[in-house]
Order: sequence, then structure tokens, then C-alpha cells
Amino acid sequence: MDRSNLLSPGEFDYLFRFWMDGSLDSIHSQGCALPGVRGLDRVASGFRPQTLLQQFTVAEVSAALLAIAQIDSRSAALLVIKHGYQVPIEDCARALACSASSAQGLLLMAQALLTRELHAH
Amino acid sequence: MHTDFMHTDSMHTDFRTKIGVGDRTLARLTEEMKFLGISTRTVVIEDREITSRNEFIRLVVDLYVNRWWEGAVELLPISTEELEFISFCCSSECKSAWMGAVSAGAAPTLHRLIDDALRDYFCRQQAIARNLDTRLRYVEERLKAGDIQSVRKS
Repeated sequence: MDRSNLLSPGEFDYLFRFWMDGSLDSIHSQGCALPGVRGLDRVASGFRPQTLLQQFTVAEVSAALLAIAQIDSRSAALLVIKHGYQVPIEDCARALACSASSAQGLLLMAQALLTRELHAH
Repeated sequence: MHTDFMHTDSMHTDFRTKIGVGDRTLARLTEEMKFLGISTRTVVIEDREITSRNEFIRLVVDLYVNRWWEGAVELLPISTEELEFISFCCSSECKSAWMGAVSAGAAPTLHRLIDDALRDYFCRQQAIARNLDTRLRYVEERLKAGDIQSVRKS
């Protein structure tokens, strides 16, 4: 995998925060935006410049998650719970009945899956 | 065995109690330390960095006391030679209120404080785990069904 494509944990949080919030859909689709931002419904458009995240649309993130859910639904759900609902990894670990470091490992794998899926299209 | 130290002047009281817990709580505490991986990494709980078992206990007690005492009881800063103890400080007014609450059975005694705080912590964590497990299963099932809108906030 090309590591230059990896998103940082902060970027995942950012990506999911806006993706999660369905009430922003009209803003996403209008793209009331920073001047010069292209791709009207990019996840981050209109908020602050995050060039990496402006590569992806809400629909693309949704499609990537659904694709992951077909092969590994636990990973897809973990991404939503951790980054979308902003649940601390220790609490995720309790729900998964594993140690905090194992949960961190699962999350890293899930993030890699998502990144690969996002860049595949 | 707890050894408590209490210093009182006209304005306030200092308490000091040795960190010690019952066998059952100790077993769960050991499990929790393993779960959090406190000996191998820095764990952040409530915006505070925890690197040792005693720091963890101090934090849990602090959160517990502050939940029912609203800041009236203050945990004193840890000093290196006092790693085995937890020190508290409160006003004499607060102390009499606390003792009153203890007599009425509404607050734990100093002897029971650490045990109570830890048991309360474990109960809360169990509730969080149950709640999140349900949420995780729901999200998993919805995503598998291709229903993305149910997991997003509208």
C-alpha cells in the first residue's frame, strides 16, 4: 500500500465528522464554499481547506464504507463508532471485549481498508 | 490496612488515606490495568495522562468525589514520597457536611472511599460496554444491509 495515501487519525476524525452529519448534506451539495474549491459536494468544502479530504465526497465515503461492510462489517462499524460518534478507543475496546491495544490494532486495519477503498475509485 | 492521617485547623481539614482495596476490587483493578495497558502506554482519561496504577486510582477517586461533592473536596497534588497515599483537603464546613452525610448513609466513609469509587467506575464502564456493544451491532447490521442513512446523524 502506498503510505503517502494514509490519513492521520485527526484526518479520519475530520472526514467522519462531516460525513456523519446528514444535516450538512444541503451545504455539501451546494458547496457554498471557499472560492476556487472544485467538486461541489466534497466532504470538507465550505469549512476549511483540507486539501486531502477535499478529494472525497460524502457519497464516496458512504460507498467505501458499504464496500468494507460487505467483507468486514465489524471494521466498518468500528470506523463509524470511533470516528463518527467520537467514542474513545478504550470504550470501543470494551464493546469489542478486547484490550485497548488490540482495539487500536483493529482500528488501524479498518482505517487502512477505508483508505484503500477510497483511493481505489 | 488503611492508615489515615487527618490534620485539622480552624479553616480546613487534610485527609490522607493509604491506597488499599479489597480483594475483589483488587482483582478487577488488575484486570483493568491490563485492559488499559497502563504499564506499556500513556492512557488519557478525562484529559489527564495516566501512567501508573496509583495515578489511575487518584483520578477515579477524584472524579467520584467531585461527582457527588461538586468540587468541595480537593485532591491534593501528589508528592513523590507519597505515592502510596491519597491526600484530600476540604473546608471544615465541608467536612462537617461530609460527616453528616456519612452518618445518614449518603456518603462513603474515608475508609470506604477508594473501594466505592473503583466499584462505581467498574459499574459505569460495564454500562458503557453494554451500550456500545448494542450500538456497534446496530451499525454493523445497518451497514451490511446497505442502509447508510440510519447510521448518520440527520
